[in-house]
Amino acid sequence: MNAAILVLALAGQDLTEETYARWRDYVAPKPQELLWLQIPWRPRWHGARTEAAEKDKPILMWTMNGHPLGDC
Amino acid sequence: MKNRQEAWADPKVQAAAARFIPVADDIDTIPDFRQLIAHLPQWKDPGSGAVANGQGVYVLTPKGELLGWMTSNGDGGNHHDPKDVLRVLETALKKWGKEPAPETLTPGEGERRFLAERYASAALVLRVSSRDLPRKEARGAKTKWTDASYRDDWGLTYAGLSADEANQLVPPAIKKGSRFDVPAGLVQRLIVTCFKDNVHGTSPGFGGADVKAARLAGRVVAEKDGVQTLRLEGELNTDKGAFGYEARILGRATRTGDRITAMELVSVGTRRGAVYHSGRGPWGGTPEDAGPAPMGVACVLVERK
Repeated sequence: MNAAILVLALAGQDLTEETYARWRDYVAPKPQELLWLQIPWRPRWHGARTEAAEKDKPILMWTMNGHPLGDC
Repeated sequence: MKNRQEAWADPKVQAAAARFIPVADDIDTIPDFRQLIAHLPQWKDPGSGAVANGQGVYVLTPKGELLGWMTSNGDGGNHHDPKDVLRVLETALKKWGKEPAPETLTPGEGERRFLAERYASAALVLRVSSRDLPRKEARGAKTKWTDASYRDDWGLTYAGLSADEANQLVPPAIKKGSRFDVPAGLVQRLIVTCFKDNVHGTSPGFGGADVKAARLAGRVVAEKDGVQTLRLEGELNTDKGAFGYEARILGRATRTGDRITAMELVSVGTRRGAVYHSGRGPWGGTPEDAGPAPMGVACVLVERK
């Protein structure tokens, strides 16, 4: 066992078959943390103006450095 | 992700957003859109003086005329605050002058559309989340960890695997009790792609040369009626000078016939270092959180329809 993992084991934070489910459930997003993904975001700006014109709707545009749905 | 979920998970914001064509995109890849907002004020980096290039929320007509906005410097409101977002959307709808019919909201629809566009050719897609693990701070100390919003924050990305990679990760022609090693090249790619610190922002961005240890092995622990249950275990050590992550990995997988129907990989370990825009400081009035400190990563197969 290397030093970093030994420190976690001593702190009760080691990953074992017994603690696996606990850490998976702790780290993975809970359902309420994924609610923002139920907005039907179109993943690309290109094509949005055409779709908006066809459906006679305004565009809601959310931008970040990196893709807001996952890569930043 | 916490600030994103707070703004866009709000029921009133979601109901309002359903009346628009909602788009999320990387501002660095859409120069034609940036031209439409070029005249709006944006955040200026106090250190370098560089001006941000347009992170924010904007409402436009199909012709590209702005109906409302919240830019990176807070002009128009805070786009992480659901009240501000709702105000901008409702004001923009009044300017629009019509009441568009709302689109039906379906759980996971935004993610489904994103994965369909980004990972169309992938055989498997893993949803990769990262999160700081509990730790104790000195009594009375004021650190980033003592801030609840910092403790609750988490990171998200995805990893797509080709059919060949999926079969390397969970080989099709093995029997109960069999053991196998996942090929080193695939393990390295998984580590670089998935096991990184993006809990609060930008990750150090490890490359293949930064992977100092990488091992993942599996075994079939049960087999019944064409369904195989597998366990995976291994470890990783990435070291990029001041940055690194050292962890143990455990996983689960299920192969049903010729399909991988469940897949999980979880790491628990120690990360260290923090790059600019990592969200770990040192700016913002609180001490930096460069570690070493415990961090976990969970990679879970996304079911795509």
